Amino acid sequence: MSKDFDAALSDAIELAAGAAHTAGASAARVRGRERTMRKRIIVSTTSFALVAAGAGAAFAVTSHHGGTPRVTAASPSVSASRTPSAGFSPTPTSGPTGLPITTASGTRGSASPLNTPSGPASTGATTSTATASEHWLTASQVLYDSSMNWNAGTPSSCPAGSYEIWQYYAGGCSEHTLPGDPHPAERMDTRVFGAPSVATGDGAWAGTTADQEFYTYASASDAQAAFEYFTNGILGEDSQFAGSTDAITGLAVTSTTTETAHADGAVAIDSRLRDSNGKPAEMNGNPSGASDRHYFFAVRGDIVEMVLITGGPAVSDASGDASYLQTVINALG
Amino acid sequence: MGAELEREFDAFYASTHRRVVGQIYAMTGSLHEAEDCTQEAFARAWQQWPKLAGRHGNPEAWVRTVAARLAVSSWRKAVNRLTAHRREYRDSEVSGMSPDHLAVVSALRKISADQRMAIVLYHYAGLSVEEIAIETSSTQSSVKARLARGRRALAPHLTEFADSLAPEATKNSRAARPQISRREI
Repeated sequence: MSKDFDAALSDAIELAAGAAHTAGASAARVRGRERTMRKRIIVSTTSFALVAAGAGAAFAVTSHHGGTPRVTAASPSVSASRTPSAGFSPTPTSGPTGLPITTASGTRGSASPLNTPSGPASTGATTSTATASEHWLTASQVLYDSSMNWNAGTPSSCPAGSYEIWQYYAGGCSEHTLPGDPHPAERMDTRVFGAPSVATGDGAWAGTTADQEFYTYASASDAQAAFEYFTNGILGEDSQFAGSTDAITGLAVTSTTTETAHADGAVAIDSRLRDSNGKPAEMNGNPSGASDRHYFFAVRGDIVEMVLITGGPAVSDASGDASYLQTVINALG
Repeated sequence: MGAELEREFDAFYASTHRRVVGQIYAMTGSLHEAEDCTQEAFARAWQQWPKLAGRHGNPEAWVRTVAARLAVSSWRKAVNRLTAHRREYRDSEVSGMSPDHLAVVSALRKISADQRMAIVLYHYAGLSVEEIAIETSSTQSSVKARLARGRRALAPHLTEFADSLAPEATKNSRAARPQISRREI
């Protein structure tokens, strides 16, 4: 006799609901209140920085290392001095390359993406048109191309909406839409790179990917707040994994997240999971090949750029991060 | 926020929290992850509670949507991927689960997140295709496709439930069933 799917599903859900641990409404309120306070602090700090940046913007645009912040050596902590200056000009102005710099009022340049090879576009997206001052990386410009031999997908653009930065891979437009997200962007442009021939190595991973994503916010202060929120979130995630074990092997797992390079308004981060034998940790629920993640974030004006490379230990070589961070910064136009 | 808002939020939490956790559990297969995402969704709800309670009309749907999206978000997965496994064994041992229950939960984990959400909202929460489309910011045709493909994807893993997963049987059984989302857990 056939069994009733609906009944089995209902029973399973109700059993789980009955077994759920209830942290309590007061705990939810405390968590929400604390986050609101942090956001206010970030916004007010950013507002102060904007005032200061506005006073010196003209000088900064022309004298700050040719208009792009210079990358410095790695620092173990995120500096509060990462606020970009050139992008915060209150009126449209010219950047070092002659392209308009994105401003807080949303003025954007008209430079074309560097290339538009064919490839899969994200679900729900349309092919990104040449409306932004930011530049798409070519496959050869993506880190580790010599070993990954990247294939570049078609740049795609989501319609105006509300988009959350994801740190781990680019999904479709709808998958980036998250009601209640503390730092929603108004626009998301994405290009995905795939690695067709990645050698598997010290652990099980495959399908290494790279993503270049541009998130456009309502204002420069929103972009700066989002940049701070996500980079600090990543840099602070190790403690959340303390005492964890690999579900498959049962071995203790250590998360190591390191800032490998930084500049004003830009940072490179290496994040890796290793078990007690030093092997990449493969977690249930963790996208395959995500034991190691290499991030490059940059913010200018109202745009946050993220280049994320996800894979095994092959994507954790940080020796070229300082120079590569400059490439990521330059892609902001 | 005022004491009245707190009381209102607390009452909302008390009446809906477990129900949302149960539904997110069906979408994730992990009780801990469901608890964490649901709690996070309630925290976000509190951040904008005056607006949510006053204008949204259905804050439970809002919380469920946020929790479901958090559950499939790789950000949350990354945060949870290790901590969740601290309770791995507890997750797999929800008291009273029969082999049929476990088979259903396990099978749901084998289909896509979009399909899973549509299946749970339709088969358990009793939402119509139109309501699911609104809640998931999708079109009705997308929801229908997710339901159809989800059932097809589940079928090989749930051969004993084949009849009740057939589109016609599902339609009939659903029509005859009360809206179980009205039930309190």
